[in-house]
Amino acid sequence: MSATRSRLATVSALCLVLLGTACFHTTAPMGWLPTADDAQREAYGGWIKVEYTTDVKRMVQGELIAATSDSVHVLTGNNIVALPTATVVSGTLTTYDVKLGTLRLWTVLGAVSAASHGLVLVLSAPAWLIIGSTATAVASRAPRVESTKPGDLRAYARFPQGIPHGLDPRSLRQKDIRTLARP
Amino acid sequence: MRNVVRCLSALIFAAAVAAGCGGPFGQRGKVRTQHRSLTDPAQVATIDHKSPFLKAHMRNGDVYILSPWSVDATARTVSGNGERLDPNRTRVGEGAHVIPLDSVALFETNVVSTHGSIAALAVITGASVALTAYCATNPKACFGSCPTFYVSDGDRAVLQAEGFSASVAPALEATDIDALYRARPRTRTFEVRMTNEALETHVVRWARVLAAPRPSGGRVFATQTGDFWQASDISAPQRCSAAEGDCLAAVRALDDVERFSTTDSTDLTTREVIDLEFPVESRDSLGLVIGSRQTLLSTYVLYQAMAYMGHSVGYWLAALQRGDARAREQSLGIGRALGGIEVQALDSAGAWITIGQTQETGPLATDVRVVPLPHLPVGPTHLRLRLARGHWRIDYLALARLAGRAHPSRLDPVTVRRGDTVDTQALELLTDSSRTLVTLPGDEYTIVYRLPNDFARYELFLESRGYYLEWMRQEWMAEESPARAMMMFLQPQEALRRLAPEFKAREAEMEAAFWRSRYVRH
Repeated sequence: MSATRSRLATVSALCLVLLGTACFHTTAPMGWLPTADDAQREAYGGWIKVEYTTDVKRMVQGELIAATSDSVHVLTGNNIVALPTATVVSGTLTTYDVKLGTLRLWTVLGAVSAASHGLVLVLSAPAWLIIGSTATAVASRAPRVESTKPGDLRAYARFPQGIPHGLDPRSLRQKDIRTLARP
Repeated sequence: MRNVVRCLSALIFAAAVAAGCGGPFGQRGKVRTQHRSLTDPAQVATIDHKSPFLKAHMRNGDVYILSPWSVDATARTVSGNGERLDPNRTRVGEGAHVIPLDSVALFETNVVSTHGSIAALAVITGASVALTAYCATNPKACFGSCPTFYVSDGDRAVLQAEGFSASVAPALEATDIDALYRARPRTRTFEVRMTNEALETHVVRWARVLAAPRPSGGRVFATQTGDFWQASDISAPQRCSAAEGDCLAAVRALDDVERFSTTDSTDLTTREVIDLEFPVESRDSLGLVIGSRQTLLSTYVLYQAMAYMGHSVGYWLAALQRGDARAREQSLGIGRALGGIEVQALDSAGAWITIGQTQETGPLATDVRVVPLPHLPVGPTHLRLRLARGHWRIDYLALARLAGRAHPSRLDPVTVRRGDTVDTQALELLTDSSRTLVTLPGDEYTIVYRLPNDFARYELFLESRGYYLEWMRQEWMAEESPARAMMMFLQPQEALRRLAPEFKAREAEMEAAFWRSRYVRH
């Protein structure tokens, strides 16, 4: 294999790896997150993964119910977990589904279409892979909030005002994605 | 098959783009981003009205989602149509609502927009589709030609030669000499980078550097026949005129500013003339120095010939290989009909007669050659160039005093590298004239030579020998026509007359597209 083709293959492989790994991947169940458009019409919290320490490091994930100055409330299944803010080590919140599949499909088809560029594909195929994978990676981070500060998280909670006075948190139920009627 | 791939790609591509921008895939496929804001009821006047939905988070955990919505600051209410959801987000009300501000804990607005990644992909999509469309409609313009050689001009690697460009079949294997006119070696170690940048198979028998001692203050030039002349007193013309008018600025220096014209729309062999005037101050032997390269006309004609041969191109090339000298002569008929750059002078009867010619095939690298002239009278001397319209790009014209023949030393490579790796096998192939080095698209070799001690005093040339095979393109098959292929061999003049309108229609955009589509590094 020539040096040029070898470089082309290397660039392509790196871009494909980038396409697959450089993106942020949420741990939310498939279909749980709304799109940015649907999120305007829904009133649930985002999906949060929180790492916290008591005696050992632990992790909890689920819907962000509220984030106040003293605690972060997460609904896991139908159980509410209140974590003291001081114990929270990291918080990774995904606020909506950015539809990366569209960008990935676009990138791959674009790179394949470079086959029709004759010899110029030596430039156009890597350009497609580099620009496409970079755009996808950037887009994947748009709905992500990484913070332990309640002020950064609360806008994406079910109750941004905090747990309402008089509401029994144990009465809260998780989002049932089967009954959501998204357009 | 490739057309099918293109069509399918275009369709799926359009679908993907539509998905990204919100087309037939609808909301679900949109790549959108969201900006969320929270507003305290006390600052209700600052709410972002660009948000189509307003969420009123109530103190009891309910939420209203309203659209459209409005704020009445006087009545201290918000109103709108929408639904009311309880803390578990079960719908408990729907319709028109008027909500007192003092029962609201927070307002939430969301502004959604297309993500910036779409713009980035849209740009490359536009460029890619344009390139696909162009290559689909002009497949003969999207590919390069000929083995290419890069040599440093002292600052950077410059394309300085294309080897054996007229040798498009084994039977036409030939030796080609190109001036490395802009080479500026800094040490005795002299590197030439040889690349295959086209959809071609290159078969290289050798690639040598010829080093000819320069006269003091002068240069050495090669002739069409492979002779070398020491030259001095090199002077630009006093006057240069052609059909478009004064062309002196374009030809007085080798500076990439070229004089060229466009083809005749009825006959590609139609000639034009360029008139030159030089001051001649002695009766020494003189030569006309010409720095030139071809336009894309010859490349186009070659590709068209292959398109006419179509599926039987292998048969044609085999026939050429089996054929006699006459068959090989016929295969060169098209090139002869297009012709080279003829140099003419006035005879004693006042008629223009051709006294020499240069004809270096290839549209990539400008080659500099000399055409020896018969003795000219002292005083203002007129010369004329006669050439096919739209066939040549002339960068440099000068008159030089020819001091005598030069006899260059032939230098074989001492090392060959591929990337950073020494390739001993390639070196063996390039230094054994009974064997050949075969290169494929994308291949690149750095060939290293050892120059004489006083290397700065030498004029350098590249002598390459071999042939190359164009790869057939699927798009060309549609034009298969044995009769027209035969015409190109047997009646090249007529073939070029018939091709003229088609080439003329593409001529203007072809040059620009060709250089855009190559990845030549100038």
